[in-house]
Amino acid sequence: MKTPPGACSRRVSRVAAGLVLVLCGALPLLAAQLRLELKLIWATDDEKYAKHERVDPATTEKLRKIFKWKHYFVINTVRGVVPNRGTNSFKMSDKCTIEIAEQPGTRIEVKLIGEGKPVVKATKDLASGEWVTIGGDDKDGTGWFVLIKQLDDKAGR
Amino acid sequence: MKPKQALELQAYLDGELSGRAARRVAAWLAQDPEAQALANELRQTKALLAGYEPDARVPESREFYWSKIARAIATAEVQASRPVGLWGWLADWRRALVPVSGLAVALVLALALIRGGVWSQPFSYLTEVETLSEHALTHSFRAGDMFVVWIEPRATLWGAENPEAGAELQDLIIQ
Repeated sequence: MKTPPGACSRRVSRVAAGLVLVLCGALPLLAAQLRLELKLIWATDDEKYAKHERVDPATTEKLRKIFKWKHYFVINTVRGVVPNRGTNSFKMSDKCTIEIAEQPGTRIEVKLIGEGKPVVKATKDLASGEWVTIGGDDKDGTGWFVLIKQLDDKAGR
Repeated sequence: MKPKQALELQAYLDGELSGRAARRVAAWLAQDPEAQALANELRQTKALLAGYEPDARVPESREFYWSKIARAIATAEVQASRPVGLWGWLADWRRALVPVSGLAVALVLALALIRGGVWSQPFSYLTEVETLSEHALTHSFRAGDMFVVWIEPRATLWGAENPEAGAELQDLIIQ
């Protein structure tokens, strides 16, 4: 049966377009890096810290569902990139640093360092889309958190 | 001579008539010169065909011989239906393009799986939390879409065992 010339070229075009799409989708795999936003948050029931920027309402609502405090203030926001299979340090305060290492797959290692001393290390999978929060109690019944949020999916996944 | 008589005569010569009909045709043939002439002509034709029928023999079996001819006819039809010029060239490449595309997709998927650590880290969904400070205890939990690691000074948990250490840990973070 004779193939119409138009049908042939359409098929070739479709295959080529499919290949390009697949390759475009795979490009982020070749240059996987993490874009992160870290927020140091202070939690309190006292309004007197209202001079600080408040955490956005959606996040505040999430935090209120988990923790006891009414008010959450942003002390510092840091954005940065963790290179593929690399490590980056994010200085959250004079004494607190978060070190994040990108690991094979969708895993990251988060290390909290206080005054140069490692306090805790967490290794977790980012594919679930969960935020990582490291926190603790502070003086006068207040609390602190470091909220680690991925700005976009790692490797586009 | 009528056509029916000619056919009857042919059947007689081929031995296809019954005895009575054959006798009748034989009597007619003996008396009718026209019928005799036709009969002679038919006999000669029969003898000619039988004597000169070619006895062709093929080197292969009959089935194989004819299957070769069928293949040759099919190939000739495909050749005749092939587009010429640029379209013919594209049609040739199309055959290779589809499997090559499939291979490329498979390679990309394999790359993604390898890079994704699916094979190397089958338990990548597990979370590990390790306390690195002697002054702290940690516990972790999931709540909604948050994974929380909570740090508590040992002094807070176990009374005034080491109050300085607890205060030191609290001072570590927000200053």
